[in-house]
Amino acid sequence: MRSLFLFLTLPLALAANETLSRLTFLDQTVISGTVTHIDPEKGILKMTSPFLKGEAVLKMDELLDIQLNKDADIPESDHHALATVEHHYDNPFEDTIRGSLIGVDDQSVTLHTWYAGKLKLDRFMVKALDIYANSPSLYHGPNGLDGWVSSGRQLKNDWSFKKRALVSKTNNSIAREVEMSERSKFSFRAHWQDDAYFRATFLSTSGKSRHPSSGYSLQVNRTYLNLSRNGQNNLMHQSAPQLREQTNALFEFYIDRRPEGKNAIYIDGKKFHEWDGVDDTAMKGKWILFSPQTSNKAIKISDIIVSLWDGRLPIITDAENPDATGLFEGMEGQRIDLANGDSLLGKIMGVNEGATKVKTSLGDVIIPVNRLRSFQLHESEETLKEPRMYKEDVRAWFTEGGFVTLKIARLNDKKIAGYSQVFGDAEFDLTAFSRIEFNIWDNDLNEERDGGGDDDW
Amino acid sequence: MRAPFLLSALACFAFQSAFANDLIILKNGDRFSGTIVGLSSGLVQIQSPHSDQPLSIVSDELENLSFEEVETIEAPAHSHQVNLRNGNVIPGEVTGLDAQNLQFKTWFAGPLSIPRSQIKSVFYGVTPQRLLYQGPDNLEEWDPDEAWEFRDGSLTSNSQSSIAQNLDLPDRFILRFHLSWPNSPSIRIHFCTDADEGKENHDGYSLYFSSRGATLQRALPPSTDEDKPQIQILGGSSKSTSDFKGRQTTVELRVDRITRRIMLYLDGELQGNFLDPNPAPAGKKVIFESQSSVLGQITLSEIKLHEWDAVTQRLRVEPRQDEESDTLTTDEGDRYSGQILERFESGENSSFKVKSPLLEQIVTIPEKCSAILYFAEGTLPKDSKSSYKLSLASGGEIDLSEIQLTKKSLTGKHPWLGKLTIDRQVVEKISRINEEKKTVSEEAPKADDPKALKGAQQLRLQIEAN
Repeated sequence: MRSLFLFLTLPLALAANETLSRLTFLDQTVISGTVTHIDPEKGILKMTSPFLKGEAVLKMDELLDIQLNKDADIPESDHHALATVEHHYDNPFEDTIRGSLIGVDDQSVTLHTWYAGKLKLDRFMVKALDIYANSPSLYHGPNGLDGWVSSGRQLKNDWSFKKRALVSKTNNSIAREVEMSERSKFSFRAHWQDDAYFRATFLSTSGKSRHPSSGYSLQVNRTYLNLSRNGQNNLMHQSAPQLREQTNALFEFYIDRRPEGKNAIYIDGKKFHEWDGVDDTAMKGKWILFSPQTSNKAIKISDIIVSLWDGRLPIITDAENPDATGLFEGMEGQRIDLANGDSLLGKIMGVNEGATKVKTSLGDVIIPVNRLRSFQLHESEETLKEPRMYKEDVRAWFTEGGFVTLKIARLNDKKIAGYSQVFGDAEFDLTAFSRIEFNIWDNDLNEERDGGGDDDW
Repeated sequence: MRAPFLLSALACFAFQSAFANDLIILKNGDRFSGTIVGLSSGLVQIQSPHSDQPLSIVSDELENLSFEEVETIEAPAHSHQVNLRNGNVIPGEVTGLDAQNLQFKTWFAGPLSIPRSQIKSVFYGVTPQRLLYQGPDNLEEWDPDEAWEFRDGSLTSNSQSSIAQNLDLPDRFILRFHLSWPNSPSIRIHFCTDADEGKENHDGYSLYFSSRGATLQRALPPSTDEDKPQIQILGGSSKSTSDFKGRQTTVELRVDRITRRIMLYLDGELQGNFLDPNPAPAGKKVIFESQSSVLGQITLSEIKLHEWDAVTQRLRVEPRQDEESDTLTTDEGDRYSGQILERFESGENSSFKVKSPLLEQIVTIPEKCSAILYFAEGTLPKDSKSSYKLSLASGGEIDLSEIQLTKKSLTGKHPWLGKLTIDRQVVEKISRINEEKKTVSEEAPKADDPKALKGAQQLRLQIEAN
């Protein structure tokens, strides 16, 4: 009878495959199924799978990650607050927690999230708090070679994934589809060995061409930068001599495709070039693409972020505008940047129903949260505290971008629960995440997760 | 009784500290590695390093199942091979033949009685080609200086540099490897040399593979200290890189130093049979020399070295004459068509009786002189499909369904031969038979398929020309 039962239930189970999670282990064992229980102390999990008879009990000591395959129903919000958490010890990656800002006091920053309810964050572990009018990220990676394609025949012959970066092996390009909104920010960090010699393209209609003629292309030729639009080299010809002394740089594009929109490219946080008067509303390409311009020297691309943008270019930093720095010299309080570029000094007294009450030397003012840009949470970085690392920590990647680290306590097909010094105990809706990484402090597993090998190139 | 046996077998495996590297791949791409401990009642049991208990996988979901390759199988080497009309290839020994059946003995499946109508041919003189090397497994064995990169079972060049290994090449061997390149290949494969680097190969062979084709060369030591080493071109292939799909090819070199002949195959297709007019070099090493300075331009994988029994060469050159009569081909190339009546033994010798329509008398041909038996087409059993194809470690393939696997044996139902019980040691891989996508044999094309015939004809022309 057991065989008959299996025979009868199998088709039903297989029909639901598209929602199964996928567990990947260090030896590349891959199992699809549903995790029903987890016991972090014993280091085991239980799962069912339409491909396995009975419940499987698996050891987690070599579990790399669980890919989740669940649709999220993300509610609308009038603003998105993004709290960046101080990194763990020597690990360079920072958690980011997003939600609606509902409270700030001397000890905490409180967010309301659709996936975990209210999260009260330890203010001394929150490094930065930024407010966006729209959801702040469409793509945040790279997290591997999945989803990328090469202009050559075999992606793995052309590019590798090492230490959270894409590393070129040949001069074939690498590309992926990311839909960019009307106003978007596209940024990445490029690394080179001797001279910068590469091309970065976005809004292209092709991911297979090394020299796409659609979209925007930035050609970096050592210290000379050329920006073309739809194959026409007429947007920018400009020298960046500082690149000669560097081995990497952060490139940020702010693109407003409307005819009246302002666009800009920033290099290492400084505005490099600005342009306007172009109507890109008909530009429908979805490909972002990186092309080494030589086979002899590899390039490395990391920290790729495509996010929504509110159309306002970053305000000039203090270093560039000494007068602005002097504005608040000798005054007490937090610096509060507003979305329109204004700044004020004061103290946030509270947040209530989307309104921030700020006490200033001129009196109390009420500012809608969605008009804020960022807060100065700490007068100096010395007050920042690192969250503690636990053996049972997992890194849960949000479908909206970024990740959160928590000491896992429970996991089933709907929820993940755990603890962090940043927010205490919390239970998260599993649909908020695309992937959960396990054994995140294990060097052997991280080496495999990061693409293997000790060398960066 | 099966269940208790299975349980005890599982319990035995469960306490093993080391896991084999058997691999199960499912239709949806899921993968399980570990030790396969059983297959029965629609389930495959694998002892995974990630579970204390064996995992039971629904066998309907199997795409293929492969067992860790054992370097040497302590088993008799059969020198005969039956080729069934459904494409199955079974190594063994002919022990009898009458008007209805061929009696065939195998070490792994016992004696088989096979109706003549199901047999396409029987090959004699087939000695399993012993696997001497398979890799690469790591970088160190080839390249202690780490000028190349090892990843996922592949070696990739990063500069103009050589990697070498003393593989103790025998007099007759088959060297096969997979070569891929993203843009333009430029690699020289040195063999039968004792040099440490490619550029130092002054006594040996080399195959230069580039975008213009492949050239086989003989490096000769200088006659005097003042002379320079000489290079003789032995032959080659004019296939250019545009002829290779996906910028990759499988290169096979069959080297017979006794007769000083080298056969070059690209993607299983014979490019030529070349004679070295000089005494053969005695070197034991293989060197891969990338001549491209471009990063990642050359990638090598699936390097295999087999001993080569050159008799197998002959199997490729004897095409079938007609399908309506039996044919016996001797090792001297004589052909007797008509009816192979029987095999009989006389003392220690055995012979075949052949009745030819052209000869009045029945001819007796010693079995030791026989090379190939072809049987006339007859009525085949009603086609009964199988779910899986079994690849044998000693060469050969058998279709089976209703597979049961235990610690020592595998049983299954052959569509024509019925239930077979096969020693597990010989099982290398079990693959689901996909009706739309026929499995392509990794070995050379069979002697009686059109591709092999074309190759055989080319080879025959080469041999005759030489």
